Amino acid sequence: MAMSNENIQLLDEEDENLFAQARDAGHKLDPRAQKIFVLVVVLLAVYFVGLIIPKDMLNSALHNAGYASGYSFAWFLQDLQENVNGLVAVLTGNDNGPKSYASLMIRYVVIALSGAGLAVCGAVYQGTFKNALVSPSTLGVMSGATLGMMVWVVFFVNDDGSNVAWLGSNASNAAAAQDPFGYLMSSYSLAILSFVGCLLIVSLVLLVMRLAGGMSGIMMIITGQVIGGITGAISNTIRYYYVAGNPYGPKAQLLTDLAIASFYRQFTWIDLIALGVPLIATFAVVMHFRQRMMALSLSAEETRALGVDTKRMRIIVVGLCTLLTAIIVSFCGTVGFVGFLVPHLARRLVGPNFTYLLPMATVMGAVFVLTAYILMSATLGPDYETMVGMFISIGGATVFLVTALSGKGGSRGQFQ
Amino acid sequence: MASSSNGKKGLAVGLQYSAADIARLRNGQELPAQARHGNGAVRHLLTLKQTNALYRAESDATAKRVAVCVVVLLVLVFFSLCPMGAAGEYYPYASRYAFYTPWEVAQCLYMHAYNAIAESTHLFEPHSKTWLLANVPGYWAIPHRAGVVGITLVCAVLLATAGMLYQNVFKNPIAGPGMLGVGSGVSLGMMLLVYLNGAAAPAMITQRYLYCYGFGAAILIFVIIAGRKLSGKGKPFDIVTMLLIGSILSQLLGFIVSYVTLFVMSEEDYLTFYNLSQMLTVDTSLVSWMSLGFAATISLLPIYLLRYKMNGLALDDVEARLMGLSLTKLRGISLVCGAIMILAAQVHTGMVGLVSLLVPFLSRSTFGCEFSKQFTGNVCLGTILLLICRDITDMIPFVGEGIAISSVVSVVLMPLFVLVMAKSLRGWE
Amino acid sequence: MKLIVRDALIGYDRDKPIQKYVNFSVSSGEVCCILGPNGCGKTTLVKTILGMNPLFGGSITIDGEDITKWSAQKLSSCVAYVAQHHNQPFPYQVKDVVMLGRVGKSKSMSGKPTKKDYNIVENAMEEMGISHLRDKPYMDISGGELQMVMFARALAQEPRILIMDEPTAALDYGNAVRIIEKVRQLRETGYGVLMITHNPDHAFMTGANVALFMRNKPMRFGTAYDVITRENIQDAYGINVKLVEFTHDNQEIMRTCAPEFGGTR
Repeated sequence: MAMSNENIQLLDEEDENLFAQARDAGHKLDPRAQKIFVLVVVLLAVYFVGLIIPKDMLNSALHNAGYASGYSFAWFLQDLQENVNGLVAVLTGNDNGPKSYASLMIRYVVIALSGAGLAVCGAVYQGTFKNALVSPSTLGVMSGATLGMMVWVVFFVNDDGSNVAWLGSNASNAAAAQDPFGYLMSSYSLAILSFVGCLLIVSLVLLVMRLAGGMSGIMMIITGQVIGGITGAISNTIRYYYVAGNPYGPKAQLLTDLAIASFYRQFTWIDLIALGVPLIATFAVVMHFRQRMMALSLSAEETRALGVDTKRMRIIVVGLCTLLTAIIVSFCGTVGFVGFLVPHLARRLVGPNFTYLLPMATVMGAVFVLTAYILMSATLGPDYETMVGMFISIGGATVFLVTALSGKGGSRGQFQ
Repeated sequence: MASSSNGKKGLAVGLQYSAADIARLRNGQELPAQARHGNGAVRHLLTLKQTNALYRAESDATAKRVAVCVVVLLVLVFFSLCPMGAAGEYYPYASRYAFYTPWEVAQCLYMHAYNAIAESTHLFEPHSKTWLLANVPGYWAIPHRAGVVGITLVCAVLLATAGMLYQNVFKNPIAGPGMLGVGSGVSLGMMLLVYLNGAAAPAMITQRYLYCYGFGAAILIFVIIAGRKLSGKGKPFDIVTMLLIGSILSQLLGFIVSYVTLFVMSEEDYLTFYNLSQMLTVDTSLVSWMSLGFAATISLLPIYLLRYKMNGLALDDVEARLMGLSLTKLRGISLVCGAIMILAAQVHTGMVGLVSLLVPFLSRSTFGCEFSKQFTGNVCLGTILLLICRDITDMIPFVGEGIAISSVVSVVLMPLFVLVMAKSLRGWE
Repeated sequence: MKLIVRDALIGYDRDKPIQKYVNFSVSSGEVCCILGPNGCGKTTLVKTILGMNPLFGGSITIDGEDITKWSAQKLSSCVAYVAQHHNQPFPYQVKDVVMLGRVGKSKSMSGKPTKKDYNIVENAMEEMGISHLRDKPYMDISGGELQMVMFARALAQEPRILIMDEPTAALDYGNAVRIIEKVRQLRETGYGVLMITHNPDHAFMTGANVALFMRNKPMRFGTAYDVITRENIQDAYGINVKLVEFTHDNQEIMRTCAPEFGGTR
């Protein structure tokens, strides 16, 4: 079935070749599914390597703090051995504390989940809106989260900076287990407010569209951009107000840090559930609807004739993805670029067929963010961990540009 | 099956159309059946005079709209001159929220005109400066304020026209003029200026324009060359690729700028950078005017000269090529001129994205889709809207140097946006 | 004015031509219908005439001059093209759409329409009978009226020969008949019309010559009565038709194709 869609080019011949290969190879796995499988293995490998590789290598080597002869290979091996021991201890016994292996394992899983969720949302948006330039932030969700954070700082933080759910605070599994609701309220007030901010912005977008009387994709995108821009302007103004008033005060610092921070909190099993369940649910629903979503690329009449109720399905799918993005951004901070780039790369690898694109995008997003995070924390150290989102964007964009510019000039279809 | 003519249009030119028929044409009614031959061919042709009469009504309508806009604009400009500096002092930033009554403004304007004529023609003695300082409130603040208003007007035209050009070329409303990454180049330039020079940066006016224009132009050239290189053998100008590169580049530079300004620079430097980049105080020096004038001329003039050919962008590639219109040339000129417009607007007024998105929609629904009419509409409506927002920005008391104009524009234009969307939804389906 | 295609090799690649030895002609006051199954090169042929594709052999001439050497502007003053799909993003008014036909011809740099241009546009709309639609946004008009607008745009170029790609493709029966009536009228006014169509009856209705393309056999060219025969339709389309001749009330004799169902093919 050929899809005549301007923005997503179907690799017809390649599909033919792939199917021919699969036929000839007997009952082996479809090459596209093979790619996905390989990537899952890579993800697991990255995960475990990340758990045992010594952190802070570059920092130590540069700053030479306390080591007489610098960070030599011997120290590297010793740290590696310690880490492996710690991992084995956690897998067999019990280990508590803020930087213990249990927390680290959960942290990595949450990070991988966030990357996966953003990539899936990006793939769904690009497919539903039939526009290669959209990303999860197009509907203004990220600006909503930022606004929520600003409101939190303005109203929920004391002037001396207390009540901050930052990395350094004493969050732990034990505390979470003892008083879940209280823990939730104090540590998660920021996340909850960000989520409320996202929902507010999205409802505003829907309201404006209802007032204007249209539910078309293009109008949703424009409205999202406009309202996102307004929200960004308001956030900027609030931040400017505090920074101009007292540049070194804790509120100003907090606002500045929150604007870019990502993965700034201690993750516990609550985060795991809060992120994992929506991700799995969204993934399941979207995969269930995948045939019908691909049919959206046809004209409206053909889609209706095929039995697909365009409007309702689009609302459900886009709504779910927006919810997922809102949750991810509230809990993990703003991680840009993943939702934009990873679907493009995934589409290049397995084509625009949703059956393969969605799993591929999920796994690829997880690999992407996790690898970037581990690289960053291994080289730059804990001081810069909260800026990983930004560095992901910078690094990803640079890599993308470099590979795009040094690659073959003739691959026209690669961006479409 | 005999052919009845020698290959030219051999219609019988019979009776002329009556005035009633012309009136019917103007009202959109169909002409009665007896106007046609048996085979459906028309009996008459319109003469030049009749065609002129038909079209004159239309240009009258456009002229009326333009006249209304000009009147509104003049009133607005006069009103904009009212918030001026402190009484009698030429100190633009002091007590910026002092208001003068319209009578005082009129008096100031009259004195300025009087002195200008006196000094140039020597027909009569100009008033002395001390007398003016003592007796005419706000005399020295008018040139500054008028400069601010003038720059805002020019930037409004640039923003609106750039938005219109990009909407025409890309037919994709997300692709705003900032998409090619030019605006982020300007931020980069500002950031470097403040980073290298600290608190001395606001005073270094020439360097500021050098950095900003330089980086913006460099980004533009980079995106064009990269787009060309990646286009392959298909088209020489793959637009989607350029958009993609531009958007990624602008994200990348935006993040670099955010990182450096928020975490590497000190807080005061951040404040300086914010002031500069948001153009909280508009710079009205000679360098500013010269650079703005130059950029506006080289970008607006080609568009104005080509304003009728630009309609060809609505054609299919095949049809346009057959008619001898080079669509790639038109698109290329639109993109480059649009990028230069946005560059100049951002350097002088800060990035106001909503104007570029919204004003073309508005002018399309009020003035018409045809490019020259849309152009006129953009000029008229853009100037009015941006001037209103500038006045609101300058009147709101806020800490530091004030609110950025982009925030005000966003909030003020939101209801307008909803209204416009309700009306002109079908244009983008 | 006579457009002659002689022994042309049509295709995208020199080694794999889609059609070989294409021969037909269109003059002013004639209609030529291009018929043939899908994928046999009809649109490619038209694109070759318009200069979009290279001509790999043979010649295409207008009044003896080789048009592959002509500039696009010169070609556009003789030949106008009405495409099959129309896609415009903005709600242009009908008169602005028709004015687009004059935009490419203007000598001045800005392309500002002269009074003569406005006059030609108005008369083109008048010929097509759509003058009463001149101020409407083109999205508010029906499919049949839209096709008339595209015809008017082609006429505004003041060509001698019109090339149309399936003008009745998306139209309902009434509008399709009205379009064919317009084609007859254009022929009588003195234009030459080259029309790609899927309906052999159109050739009979317009009194046209027919260039019948087939997949693996050489093409046929001649009058409709000569070319549209039971054998040729079987060769080209693979179906059986019965040709029926009848007389209209106004004494005009008309033929039509009636397909046969059932039986062997």
